[in-house]
Amino acid sequence: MTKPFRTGLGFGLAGLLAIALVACGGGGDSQSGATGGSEANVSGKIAVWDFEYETTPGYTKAIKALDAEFEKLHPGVTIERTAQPYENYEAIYRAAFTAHEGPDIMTMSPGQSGVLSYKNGLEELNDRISPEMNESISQWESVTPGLAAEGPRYGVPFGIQGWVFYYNKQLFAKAGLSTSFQPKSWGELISAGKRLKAAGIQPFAGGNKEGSETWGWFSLGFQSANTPQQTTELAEGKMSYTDEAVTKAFQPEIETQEAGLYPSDRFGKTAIEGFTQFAEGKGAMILGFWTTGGYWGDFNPAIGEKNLGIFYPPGNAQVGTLAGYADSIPVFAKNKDAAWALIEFLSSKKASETFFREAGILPNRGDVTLPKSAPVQARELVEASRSPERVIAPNAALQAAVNFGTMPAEMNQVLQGRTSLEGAQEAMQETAEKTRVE
Amino acid sequence: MTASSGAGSVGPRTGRRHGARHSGRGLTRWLFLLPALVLLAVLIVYPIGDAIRLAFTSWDGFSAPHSIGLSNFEDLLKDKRFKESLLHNLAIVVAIPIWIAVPYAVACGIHTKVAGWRFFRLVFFLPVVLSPVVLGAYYGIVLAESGPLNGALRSVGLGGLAHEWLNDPALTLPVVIGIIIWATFGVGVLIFLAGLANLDEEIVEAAQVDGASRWQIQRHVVFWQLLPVIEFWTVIIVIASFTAFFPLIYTLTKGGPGTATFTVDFDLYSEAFTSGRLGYASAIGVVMMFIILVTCGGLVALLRWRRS
Amino acid sequence: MAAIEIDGVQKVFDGMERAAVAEVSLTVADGECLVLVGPSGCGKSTLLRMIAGIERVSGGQIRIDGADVTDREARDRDIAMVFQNYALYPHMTVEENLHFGLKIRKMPKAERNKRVEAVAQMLRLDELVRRKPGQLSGGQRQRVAMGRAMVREPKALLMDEPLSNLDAKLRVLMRAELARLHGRVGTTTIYVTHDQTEAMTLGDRVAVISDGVLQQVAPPDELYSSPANLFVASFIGSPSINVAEGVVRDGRLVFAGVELPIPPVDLGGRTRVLVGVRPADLNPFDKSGAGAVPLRATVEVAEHLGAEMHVLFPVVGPASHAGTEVSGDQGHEREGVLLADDGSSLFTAVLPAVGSVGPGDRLDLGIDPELLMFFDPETGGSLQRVSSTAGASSR
Repeated sequence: MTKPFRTGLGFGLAGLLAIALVACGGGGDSQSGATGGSEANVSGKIAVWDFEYETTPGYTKAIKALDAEFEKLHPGVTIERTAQPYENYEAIYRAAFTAHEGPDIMTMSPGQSGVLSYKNGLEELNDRISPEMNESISQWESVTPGLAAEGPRYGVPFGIQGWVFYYNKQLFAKAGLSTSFQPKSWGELISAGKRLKAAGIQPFAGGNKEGSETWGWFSLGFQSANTPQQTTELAEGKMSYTDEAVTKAFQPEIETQEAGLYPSDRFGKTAIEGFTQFAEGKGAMILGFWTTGGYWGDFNPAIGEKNLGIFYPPGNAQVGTLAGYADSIPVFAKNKDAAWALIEFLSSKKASETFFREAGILPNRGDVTLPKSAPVQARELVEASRSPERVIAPNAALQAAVNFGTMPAEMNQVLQGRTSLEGAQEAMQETAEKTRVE
Repeated sequence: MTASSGAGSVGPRTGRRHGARHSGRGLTRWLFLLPALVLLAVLIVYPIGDAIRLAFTSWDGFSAPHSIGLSNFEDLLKDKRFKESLLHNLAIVVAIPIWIAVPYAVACGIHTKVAGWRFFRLVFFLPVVLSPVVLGAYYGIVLAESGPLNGALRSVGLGGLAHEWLNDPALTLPVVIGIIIWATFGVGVLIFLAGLANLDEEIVEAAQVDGASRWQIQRHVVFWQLLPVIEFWTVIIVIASFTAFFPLIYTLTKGGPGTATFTVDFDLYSEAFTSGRLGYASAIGVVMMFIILVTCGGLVALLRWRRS
Repeated sequence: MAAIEIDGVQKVFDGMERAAVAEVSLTVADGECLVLVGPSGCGKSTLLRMIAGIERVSGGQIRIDGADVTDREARDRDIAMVFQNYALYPHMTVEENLHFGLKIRKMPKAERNKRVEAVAQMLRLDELVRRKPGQLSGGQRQRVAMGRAMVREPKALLMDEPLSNLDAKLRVLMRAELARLHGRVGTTTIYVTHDQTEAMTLGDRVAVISDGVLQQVAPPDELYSSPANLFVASFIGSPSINVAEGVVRDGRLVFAGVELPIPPVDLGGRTRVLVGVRPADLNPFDKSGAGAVPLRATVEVAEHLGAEMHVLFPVVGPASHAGTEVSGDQGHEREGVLLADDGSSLFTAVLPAVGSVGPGDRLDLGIDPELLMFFDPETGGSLQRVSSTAGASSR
């Protein structure tokens, strides 16, 4: 879920053109499914659409090296990797599906708002996934309907993503707070914030112009107050957005906002501006990501590895994660066997190590150990992700239209006291009903 | 070919030959038009037809669309966001007098060849060649709560005028419209300059001799002569208000705060690509097309009627 | 109504070396109709526009009714103008067009209505008042343009080729109409045209302009009979004057292949002069005056025009080009000098239509030495008759 933050610069005309493409599409045939056997027929061109490519420098470097290695392993294979800017990919992907024509592999966001919203156009991969692979890789819920542990897989998850709080130990010490902070309740977090404020320190850095911080607050709030079972109910449409469980999920952010722990210009600033504030020491806490953007890799160089602390939400479940992204094979892919071979290769132990080394992508394979030189926060997070307490991050349950549309827009207004939370929840439910993917 | 033999014949023309010659020319005409007609059909007629067809279906883009009659349109009538978006488009259209007055005034200024008019013409046109994304990002920075504009206001003691320009539901739409006007008025200036260049100078002179002041000449003579240009520009703006400002609004406000700057094209985009409701989005497109046709048709009819 | 004095007015356009109007001085008397005539591009329209105040002057002074208006805006000069393309306000009805100038000047409505009604009646526009210019014929538009100027009751009326967009027949009608109106209203009028017939019929006096320089200002008949120079002589009169070189030999003039006595003209000792004779002054010999000398003409072209005919015939002797380079504006007969096939001059005679005259026929014409005009071959200036009482006026 780091990608939404790159939506800073807009669509341009690509989106409008895509409308025309969509309009030109229509029904049509779909090609037949998997043939099984990972080395069945690995040759020819593999076309990949990739929204990380040419966007994240570390990822780009890693993937280029891995692609080259794969081509070397399989003479006769050429990989044609196309960068699809994250800002446009919804429109471009949608156009490809309606036209029944496109690449062999598509990178996808995890969960209901990403890969699962396209599931009707994607290959089910269970027959291809070996027991060994199923076992060693985690975050399968991100690509499985209902966010279930078992079921049809519409992609292969890569990396570990989630939300977590970072704090500046130096500023905490200045306010007389513990430098190994972990609140037991939301109230404790708020009083810590008030104490910082009293000491003349900005408690939270942040920017919520896009409303994207709300995703994190919602996710952490929901996992804190509810059970993984409830997350599944929300994903499957069995729980309404007007449910009390959802109301509770929004409370922590509303209370934090009301307590005045955020800067006054929070809604005029983007999330990225918020991260910058925190990196500059202009805030004691930030709601950040596990990896790639607004994370330890950004903050450590700025405020020092020793000075950067992590704390988890209080309550039921403290660790919630989902995949960083997923690789999927659309039904219309022309070279499915080779595509699968590439996905398999990229999810190997060796590839995972390369991804961490070059891009800081946290490995979702149990057999990968981080090097000793890895930052303490990375090691801590990977360990947390392997704990039995870990749950699926609830924001994976949000449908695209709720996630990208109604929730940020409505909550932005709620937080500024312009509309009621009740009304916002009703609007979310309305959107969810209209746009449910069956 | 039939055509060349027909057209080339210079001999005595009997009625029959004459007829043959005409049909030959008719066929040639169609043959020459064919490529254009095919392109037109493929690129315009078919997509419009298909969009209209899809407007009566429910379609997620994966499975085949299935017909649901007027459901989409019935839903549109109840769709709060759609109605709100439509209202925002209306606000843009209501701002048309400003949209006309600004480039008109600037063009008149440039037309009198004030010192440095070439420079001004260039400067005023500059925003037009900038990408809307660049403009959006630029104004995002300038109008930020702690951005340069508010900074400037505060530094001259006008802090009371500082606002959250892009986060105040009451302010954002007017601000966005203002920026759009700024970004597009260079085109208007060029169009009005062309109109002024074609002005019948003799009529202006006649008014001068008749005793009209500069302002009276503008009001009673130049304005009326530029009326077709104004009409043209208005139609362009109306169409653009529904179709062309999406990228700028997207980068500037993403339709926010809340849905305060959602426009119909914005709504269409989000229904199609965020919600995946392609049939519903097609219905929005059809309604949008209908509104544009009716508005522009009405506008042209009104102006024609006024002129005759 | 008022007199207009133009004093050394000059116009040099930006980037041009030669003056479009070179120090022209003229006085138009109160109630007079002065016609500015000359070929296209001679500066007559520019002069008019300067008087109107639409064009700035580069030098000199313009006075209307004694007041210096040189630096006044057009609207402060209280003049009215009729434009070549009428310049009616296309979005206003005829009535609104007529009202406009009065309304702008804040005239009370009752008074305005009275005036507009009167003018509409005078110009027979009553039926048209509700129409817009686009629904009018050329002649009707012309009348509206006239009406718009007249309704203002200005100190002076300026007209810039007002008839040039009408067809020939309508032009003749409107010309008469204009003459009638001027006679009735009597507003001081300056009228610009390139058409010498209009000039001669409408002007109390006519000012001939060439290349921005005023050639002669005189009443029409004087302009015709005593042109100040060869340009005026050639420009005025239709068909154009016949010009050929004359040689003085033994006290007699050899011209057009005939020998004539020299009339009392101050030749200043010249032995070569340019001699002109009006086509209408060449008559059948038997009908010519007593002093006429016979000229045998072999018809090359005969144009039968009904009541009269134009006969073109070659004459002996070199053609003259000096000062006769009149542009084709003035119409039919003459572009520069007509030449016969062998390079000799072609003369034109206007004769009463008698019988059928055709090419090759021989005619005996008479030249009356008293009717000849003499010009300096170098300057084109008119050589004065010694005993003439007409007092040819020059500028």
